[in-house]
Amino acid sequence: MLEINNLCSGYRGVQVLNEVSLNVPKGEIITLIGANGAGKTTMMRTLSGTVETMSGTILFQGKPIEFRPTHYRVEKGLIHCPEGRELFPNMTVEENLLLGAYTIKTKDKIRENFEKVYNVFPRLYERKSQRAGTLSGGEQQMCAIGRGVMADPKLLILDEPSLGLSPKLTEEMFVLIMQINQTLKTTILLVEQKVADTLEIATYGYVLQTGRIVAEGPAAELKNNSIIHKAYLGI
Amino acid sequence: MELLFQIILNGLIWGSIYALIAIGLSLIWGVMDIVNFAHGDFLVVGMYVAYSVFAATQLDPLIAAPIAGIVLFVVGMLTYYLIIRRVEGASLLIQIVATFAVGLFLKNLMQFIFKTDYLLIKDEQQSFFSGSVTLFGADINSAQLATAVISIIVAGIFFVFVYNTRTGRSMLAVSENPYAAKLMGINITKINVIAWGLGAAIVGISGALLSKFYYIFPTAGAHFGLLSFIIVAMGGFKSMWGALVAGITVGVVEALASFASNSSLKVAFVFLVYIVVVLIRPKGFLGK
Repeated sequence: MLEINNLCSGYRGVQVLNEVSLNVPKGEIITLIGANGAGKTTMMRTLSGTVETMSGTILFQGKPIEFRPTHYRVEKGLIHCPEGRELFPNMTVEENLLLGAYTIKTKDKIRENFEKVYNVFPRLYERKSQRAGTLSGGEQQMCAIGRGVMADPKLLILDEPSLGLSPKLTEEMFVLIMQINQTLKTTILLVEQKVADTLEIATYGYVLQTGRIVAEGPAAELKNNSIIHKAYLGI
Repeated sequence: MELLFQIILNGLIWGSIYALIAIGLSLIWGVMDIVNFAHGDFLVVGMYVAYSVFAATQLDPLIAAPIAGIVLFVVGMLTYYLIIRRVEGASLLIQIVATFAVGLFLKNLMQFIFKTDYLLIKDEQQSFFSGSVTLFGADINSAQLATAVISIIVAGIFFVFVYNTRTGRSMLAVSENPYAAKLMGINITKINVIAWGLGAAIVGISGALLSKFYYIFPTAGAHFGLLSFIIVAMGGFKSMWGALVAGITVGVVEALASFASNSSLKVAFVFLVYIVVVLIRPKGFLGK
């Protein structure tokens, strides 16, 4: 689905990512974990094209996309739910979701996607006429993910969906992410700081540290990896 | 009482065209976060287009307004494509200077083509919109009434477009959160081009409407440009409904002020009301 080779990128000449290689196979949940400032968000922005690639390649469904604009990547099904939700606060939940389906051309398909989203997040249906800015943190996160699902993603990139949520809500959110992966067959790249929970639902993980991949492996193995233990699990 | 009604009706008529001018500014401001200091000059280009059309074909400016709209749509798109695109993401000052330069260029281009003479569209045959109509006991110049009606229709079409079409909704999205809009798959450059084209087209139509009543000269836009900044600030930045409400307010304030005191003082009253409004509501009527 997604194959990244020796990717370098950053902002205005300051390089953040250094020769990052990563592979997301179809149908799986792959996670990228790392501390604050490791470059996770930069990585996601480079994938969606809001940060420019300096060198390296990004293959999406076998085709290079590293020099394509964001809207092209969205049309191809690479959807990025950004860190901090980035909703349209003065629009209703429904309007937010509708914008998520911006690249979907037919009305029937949009209606079908609304049903999909409301099935996974019944709460959003209850809140559909409410302005997104007035939702609770958990509901806003649901709205952000729902908006991503509206676009019929082939690959859904979730950047810190647990940000600002209580431990209980975080757990619920992870269950919902798993549900999207299983029932909608959506491939997911999950970026998280909550490492223990993330490794429960992911199949394979990468560890990013100061712009480099320092460890990788099947999630079950990573749980026992000493680097991760020391740095993230605090055991 | 009847006199008061007449004054307010007059104010509403001018207010509706002020609102139209300001909506064009508000659109560009909202979508791009760029203050267009060439706005008044766009208006003047619209006036000259109407003048040229009239000189060539005797077509009334109120009927030729769509032609000015089309010309200014192109001017707006070109402005974005040739100039503004290069200062996107630059500091506010650079953007202001860039739009200011566009304005200077247009002003001087008009001066070069039409000289500095004060031109007036004089419809000798009085073929269109002559005389006056009586509305609830108030006498209204029919050309003015037609201008107000056209302004309201154009504003109406514009609002329907913005709230009910895919392109319109994506403009609102870009205005609220450009980063998220990009992630929705919206081609921001395309939206910016359309916003500049539409914003300029609306003010071009306004210019054509105004050319029926005002002298046309290269710096005629300064006054209206300034007024529209006031209106947008009073209505609330980024709120096109706010621009509509504030535009009509300004028209009514002007009419009342020129009746109560002296018509040369009317602008002072507009500024006074503006200051009071932003003191009470710093974000304007409908600002968020």
